[in-house]
Amino acid sequence: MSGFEFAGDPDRVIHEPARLKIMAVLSVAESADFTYLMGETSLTRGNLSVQLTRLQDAGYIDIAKEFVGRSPRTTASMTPEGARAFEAYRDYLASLLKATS
Amino acid sequence: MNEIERTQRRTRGYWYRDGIAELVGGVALALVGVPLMASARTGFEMLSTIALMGMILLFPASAKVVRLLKDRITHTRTGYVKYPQPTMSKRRKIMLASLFLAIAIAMLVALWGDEYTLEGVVGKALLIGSGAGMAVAFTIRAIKLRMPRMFIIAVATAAVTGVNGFAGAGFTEGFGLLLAILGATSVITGAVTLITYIQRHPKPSVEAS
Repeated sequence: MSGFEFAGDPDRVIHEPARLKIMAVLSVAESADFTYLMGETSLTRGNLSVQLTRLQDAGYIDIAKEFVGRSPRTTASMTPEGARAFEAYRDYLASLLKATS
Repeated sequence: MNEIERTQRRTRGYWYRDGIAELVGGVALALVGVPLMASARTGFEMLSTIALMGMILLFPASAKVVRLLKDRITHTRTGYVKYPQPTMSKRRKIMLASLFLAIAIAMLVALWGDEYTLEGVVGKALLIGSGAGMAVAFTIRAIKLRMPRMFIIAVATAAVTGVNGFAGAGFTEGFGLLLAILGATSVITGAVTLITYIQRHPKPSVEAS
């Protein structure tokens, strides 16, 4: 026995810092657009697109495209499954801190 | 505070980052407050009717102006965030609480007011209570969102409430002054915030989606 007993492994999809930031934003917003998420994560357009696709493939977020006037707007919102996964990840972090303190 | 909480706080406070809501809301408050105050000073009651009409028309209109300005200025620069709307049950609770409050005020005025008006002791108590409540609300918002400029609005509101209390202002005049000063302070803080925001975030040459 290693002496470190945590509540299992972290959710690898959320564990990556940029994806965690995206999930943190969407946990308090109904939706946020690509521009806002780029500013929050400091990712390039291409990289953010990859991270969003990864979260979408895991079923944690929905992506929608709409037009505001003549400008296209891509928005992301958290799914109920994503909200559960995010909550579980925060519980994991709390258990990790408790185990190491 | 960890990075998750910092990100969540920034996102919650994003609505206020550009100062547009303060600026537009401040104009609406001042436009209601000034005629209300003038009505009490001059005795020209038509002005308080104008203020009441202004309240009914200006507040829904100002919400539309805020959305329009945010679409033009903010969303193209730093993006768009949609906030969760209150659920129906929460809306019902707010409506019920407002109804009870209105009935309670009407009963207080009927029992202890001066000739069924808000002038007199009840009006003065309401004036100080509402002013203090607003000051506390702005202070809480300043702390929660870490926005020091909200303290300025809180201090201005508290100061006017103090002046109203010491001067023994009637409800109409005092409430008009409260709204006018609250509006003027919001206009100033909102305008400074908007100018700073625009300077820090120039419009992108190619609009991002």
